[in-house]
Amino acid sequence: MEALYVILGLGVLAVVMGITINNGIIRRRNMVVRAWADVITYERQKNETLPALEKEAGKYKEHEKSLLENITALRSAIGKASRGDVNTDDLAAIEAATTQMVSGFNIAVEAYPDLKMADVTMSLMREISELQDNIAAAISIFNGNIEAFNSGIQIFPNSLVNSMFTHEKAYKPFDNAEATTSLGHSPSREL
Amino acid sequence: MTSTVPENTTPGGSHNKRLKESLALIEQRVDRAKSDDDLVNAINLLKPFPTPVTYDNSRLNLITGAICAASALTATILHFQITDPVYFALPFVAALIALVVYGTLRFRRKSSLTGLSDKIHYRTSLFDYGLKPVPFSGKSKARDLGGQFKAFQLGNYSREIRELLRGEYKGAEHSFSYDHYHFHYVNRRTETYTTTDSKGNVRVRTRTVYDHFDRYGFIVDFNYARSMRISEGGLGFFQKGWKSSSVSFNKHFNVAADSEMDVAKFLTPKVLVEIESAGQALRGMDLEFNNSGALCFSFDDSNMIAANRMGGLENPAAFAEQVAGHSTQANLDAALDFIHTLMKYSDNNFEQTTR
Repeated sequence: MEALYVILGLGVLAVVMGITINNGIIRRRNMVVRAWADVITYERQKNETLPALEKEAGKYKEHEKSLLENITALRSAIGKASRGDVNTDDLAAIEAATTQMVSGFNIAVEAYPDLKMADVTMSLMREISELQDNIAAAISIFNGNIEAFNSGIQIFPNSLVNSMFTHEKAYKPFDNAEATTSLGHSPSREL
Repeated sequence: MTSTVPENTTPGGSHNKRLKESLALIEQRVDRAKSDDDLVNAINLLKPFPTPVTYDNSRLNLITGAICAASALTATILHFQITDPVYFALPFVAALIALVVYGTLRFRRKSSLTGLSDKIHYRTSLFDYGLKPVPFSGKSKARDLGGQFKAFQLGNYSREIRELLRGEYKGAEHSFSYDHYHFHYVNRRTETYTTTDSKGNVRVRTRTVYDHFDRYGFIVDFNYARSMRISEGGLGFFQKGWKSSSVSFNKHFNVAADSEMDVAKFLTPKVLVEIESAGQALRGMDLEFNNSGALCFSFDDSNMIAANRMGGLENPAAFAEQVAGHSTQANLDAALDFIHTLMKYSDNNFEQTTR
């Protein structure tokens, strides 16, 4: 009879552990999706600065055309990204378009020192710079959450629960040198 | 054995007397100092002494050695003549007392130099960072601050401010004045313990215990967040309140606020990462934004000011050179930069009027 109680107790313990692990995996997956949504939200915030940048571009005569093209490319890349689907390729496209737009803008600003000192220009540059810092930090948080999630499905006994019930696959961290170097460290390992 | 007796002074007591008098004079001047120059002039009073400047312990060594030798000799004689162990122990007691007195004197002499060096280093740090002591009454100031921040409501027995310094920080985008404080509080509790007498009877007793704690921090005007508290420690996952998108941040910090919208706006990814990074460097970090637009940034670490003394009065010339230069307080710089970063990433770039 005692053996039956022990077996029953172990069975209940295994079920409780299984449920806890299962819920933990789901919770961490949701945190990955939430962190991803943050990254895309901050990327989309660039849209708020783009009209002002377009207005500014008109002042940099011979650079105007290329500046406007870069802004359009960035707007298009941002439009393609989804907050719900974790797709790091979309993020890489946005970051590449941002880099191109910012470097083009910097070249134009350097060519017109008077405009560089204007309050609007300085505020815009500061806003873009801080936005990029926030995106870099959001990517760092996203990668941290991915690391926690991946560990949560790969370590034993979580791997067992995942293979039997949750069936989650590991996420790939986003590795963007430009975005992460501003934080001074690299994100998670490549899978 | 290397002699530390200065060549231009008479050995033993005379040297020590002069050194003691010089240190007392230096301390007086340090207390009155208004600049690094005053401190350097005070340190230069030790110039006539040979380097490294130390007390001459040769006489002390000699006397202690003689007492120990005499004790050993007496013990040997008593061992052969007297069988009573009480008399036999007396020389050892005498030697022990001599060694305790010797150790105490040596410690005091060394501490008088290191203590004064610490004091000078502290004063020069204040001068270099433009920090000025603010006059205050310890308990009433703690009471005032307790009305403004929960961070000063700790301790069920007593609370007092032990130090209050005011300084100015000039950053790339924001400049602000700040108060750096040392807050001491005491918790009173009763605990039970058991005693056993010679007959083996166990008795349960109670006693009152006073636990002393120290907190340090900064108070600054902060107009970009209100009614919010971000505290390190506790069981972050199980706490109620706002949760960030960072698993790691949620694990280490608790967030409490009147408005979740305000928290979500303030805790941008960059601010989250910066807070987490500061939390790793500091113990028991707490950020409290009150409803009047002030921030209390507190922690357990006491090493904000005068943390990295490289030299001391043992080498007056090198120490004077250090004091004359600018002392870099890495912890203080990092803490102030952190506050500046919080401001930078929570202000509105298009409404800024001051740089």
